[in-house]
Amino acid sequence: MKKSLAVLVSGLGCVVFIYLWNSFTPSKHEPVAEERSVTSVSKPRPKIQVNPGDQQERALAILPTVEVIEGETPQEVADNYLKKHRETFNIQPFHAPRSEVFQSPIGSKVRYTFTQSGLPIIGMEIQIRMDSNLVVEKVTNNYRPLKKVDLESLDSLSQETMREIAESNQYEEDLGGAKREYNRVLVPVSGSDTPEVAFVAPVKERLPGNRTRPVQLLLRASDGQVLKKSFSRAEF
Amino acid sequence: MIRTRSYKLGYPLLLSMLMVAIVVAGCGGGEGCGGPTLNTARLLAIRGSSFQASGAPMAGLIIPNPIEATQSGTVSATDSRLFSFASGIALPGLLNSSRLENNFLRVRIREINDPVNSLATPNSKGAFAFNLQDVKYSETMGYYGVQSMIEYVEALGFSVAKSRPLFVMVRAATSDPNEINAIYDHHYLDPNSPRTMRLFGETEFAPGMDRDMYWHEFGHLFNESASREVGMDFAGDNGAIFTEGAAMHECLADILAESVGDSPNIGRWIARNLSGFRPGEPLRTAVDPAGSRTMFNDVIIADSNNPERYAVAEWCTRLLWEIREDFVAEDSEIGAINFERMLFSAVSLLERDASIGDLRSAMVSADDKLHCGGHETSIETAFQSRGFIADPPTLSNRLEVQAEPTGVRFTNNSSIEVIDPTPGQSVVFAMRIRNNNSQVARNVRVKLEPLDQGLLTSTYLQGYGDLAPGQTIQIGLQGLDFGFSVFGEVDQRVSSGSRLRYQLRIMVENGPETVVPGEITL
Repeated sequence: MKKSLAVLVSGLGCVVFIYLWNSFTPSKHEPVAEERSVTSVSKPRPKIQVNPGDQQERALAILPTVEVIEGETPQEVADNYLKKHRETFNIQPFHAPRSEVFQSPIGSKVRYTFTQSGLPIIGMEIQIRMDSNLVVEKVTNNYRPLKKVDLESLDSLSQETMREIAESNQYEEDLGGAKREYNRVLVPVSGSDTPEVAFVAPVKERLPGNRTRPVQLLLRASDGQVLKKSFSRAEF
Repeated sequence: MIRTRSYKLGYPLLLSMLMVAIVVAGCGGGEGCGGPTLNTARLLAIRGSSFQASGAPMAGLIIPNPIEATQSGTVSATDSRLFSFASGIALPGLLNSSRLENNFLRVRIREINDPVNSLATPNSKGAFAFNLQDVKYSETMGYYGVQSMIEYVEALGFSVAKSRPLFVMVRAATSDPNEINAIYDHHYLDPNSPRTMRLFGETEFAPGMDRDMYWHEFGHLFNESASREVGMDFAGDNGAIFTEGAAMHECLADILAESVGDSPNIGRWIARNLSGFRPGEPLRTAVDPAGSRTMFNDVIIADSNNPERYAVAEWCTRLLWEIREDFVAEDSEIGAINFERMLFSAVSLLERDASIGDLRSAMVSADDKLHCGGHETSIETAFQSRGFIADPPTLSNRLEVQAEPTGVRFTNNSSIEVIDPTPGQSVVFAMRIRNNNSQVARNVRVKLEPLDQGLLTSTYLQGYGDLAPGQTIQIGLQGLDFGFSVFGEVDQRVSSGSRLRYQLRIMVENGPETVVPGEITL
């Protein structure tokens, strides 16, 4: 009997301990369904982080208040989050978001990039990260409310001239790339609230020893100035 | 008596069970750790190349390549014995049974615009069965290789970035008929362009014949996808010759192929095309050669040859392989699967321009979420025993830096001509960095930060590995060539005579940053 009483006291002690522990310790992994049903309880405010990127990208931090975000999938939660805070982010009506969902066993992220008139804007994005319960953990934002580029009256070099500029000196035609017109993109530049229009030229850079490596050049549409470069991942 | 006995034994037993249940649910794991349930049967089937795809067209392939399949280092594509090593493999995920493609993956031979009638089609029995030397064999291997790995990582619980198609060119067009290589392009700067994987080489050891080449190259896409396209090696994407992120990119691509393929070797087939490799010797291996052990200092201390991204990558795979062995020892059936899930979950936590230290921390964190931290000791021991110190001693003094900008022009014969800084041309920095400390300077990097609008960055950051106590590195002029420096472009809109301000930020993990301001006079 003494033994059973000891077990009973121990058991009750553990129950009391667990109750107190759960009362005073915020759970990292509260069930989502429960959270959504109690709308008066806000979710923890997600960490907002500015991704500085390189010097061309002037980041802008915005701190929206986060409440319960409805949604059954990462895409839904993120879309609702962005919709709710579109004004706070100051997303311009002519900037259309494009999203991509990245899922892993420990969480999800939805990444929004932006286009104007179908032209991608390079290096400007909002990322919404959720844990495996779709709780928004972190928002990273370097969107800027850049002005609209007037593409109709744009002063631009021709495709042919651009190709001549791209395939001169240290660069040559990349035979493995598609023989097609260079795509156009918009490039935010520091010190300006209007992005530059640029052509993307896939070429090969000549290296010593008759070697080459693929590189994409961003060439400013008005004069062919190299704005950025991006290189491939080669095996050697 | 019976009731008394029942009371005496049953009540404490009931209480004990209740207490245990409460402890397990409340005090113990609960929702604290553990990932989604794995479909281990499917994962094992993919690893074993035995898809359960009813009605899918079959292919005849030598998995993963003739050398591994025959365990003969001297076998070649013309060897008649190879026929008996071909396996019948179902090709999953095809949009229709007559073309090697689906909505995401599109296999080509030379380029994206290859004529459709030049591409592989099945025989009268509906099978994609070709001679090894026929480029259509490589097309089939390309489809199988990439699609099988896509389905594998998806079954592990990861998504694959599919917003743009992936074109795989198995004998890509090139101006150099002797080119042997494999190249992956994520096309960060051209979001309206598809992603491409290009394998170069038409020899009897063509890279396109080897499944592991596709697994490795797909690994690069998967790295970007798992890391949410955050730019885990954004500096490398922008032209840096070395960064720890670049080494990790290669390491992760290798370990994905090696771990899923259950072989610590990669590139035994492609290495036959290269001088300096014995027949059957791999390009890289996740295990040390007998009698040696690759330590971090062997590959990361800066000198004229180091750090080199593939050497650091190989060190990294050896370390990861040891952790994998611990997972396998724990569970011989699904240990490797658990390892892969933990590792790439860690990749999902990386940020832009990640370091090896970041990967280590992310692995501990991912393991905490998936396995309640059960492998923390294994992870930490592996890093430590390979010479990677998580918290190196803090430097007593800042790094000493001297830097001088110079204009450069690239000539037609691919050399760099030093000129005065000029509008429309590149600028690069001759640098001398000295570690005047008795401690190693960890992960030294230089970043170019323009302060005026007319200076644009191209290669904005370069990494130099670790600097030993008292060590000096020199870049440009008498030291490493200018390719190892940071690059800017002077906007041609800027007029001559202008001055452009910049600063160089010299970063080190175990000490304060050094900022060197400067001005370029045009």
